Amino acid sequence: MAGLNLGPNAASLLNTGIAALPGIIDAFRKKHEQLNPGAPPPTSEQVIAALQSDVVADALKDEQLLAELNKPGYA
Amino acid sequence: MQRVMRHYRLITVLALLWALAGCGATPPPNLTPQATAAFHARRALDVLRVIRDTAVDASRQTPPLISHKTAIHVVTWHKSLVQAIGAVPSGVRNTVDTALVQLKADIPPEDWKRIENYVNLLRAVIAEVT
Repeated sequence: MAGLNLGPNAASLLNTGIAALPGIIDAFRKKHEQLNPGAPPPTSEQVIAALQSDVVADALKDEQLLAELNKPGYA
Repeated sequence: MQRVMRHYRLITVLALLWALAGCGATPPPNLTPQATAAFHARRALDVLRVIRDTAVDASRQTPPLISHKTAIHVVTWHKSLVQAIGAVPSGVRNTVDTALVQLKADIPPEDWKRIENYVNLLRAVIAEVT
């Protein structure tokens, strides 16, 4: 990021954001790879099961985050 | 700092839009109506996850870009919303619309501005639900 005069926090934030991008894009690709041209389309059962799997995974992650955020002295 | 945040948000949103565009917004034609609803619901969950993680990560910055209280509120909001979508995937559009109105009313305007780009992305995704 030559040309930007950033403080340490700002530079760290920007670098974190940029570093996270490949991971975000990868996650989207993996999640929808069955929809890529050439790949067989997913069956209805697979799509419904994938949704339920996502719901369970999200619920677990939410619980984990809430436990972390509610720890005494976190804020 | 605001300049940096603009770059950060712009790059992230552009990458997400690009990724979503490449993932196919149209469900495969072989799906049943129930599975088509699940397909759209999953796409909404993808963006909801980004909103939650953005709020949590922003609250962890020094100084925090989003208040700790708001981060907890967003995670709790996300948890309820995901359960509601999982229970009734066909109602994802109305469920998300209602939940967004509630979230905007519940968190400070300055915190809302931090996640607004991702909220707009979510609105774009659920607008595709037919």
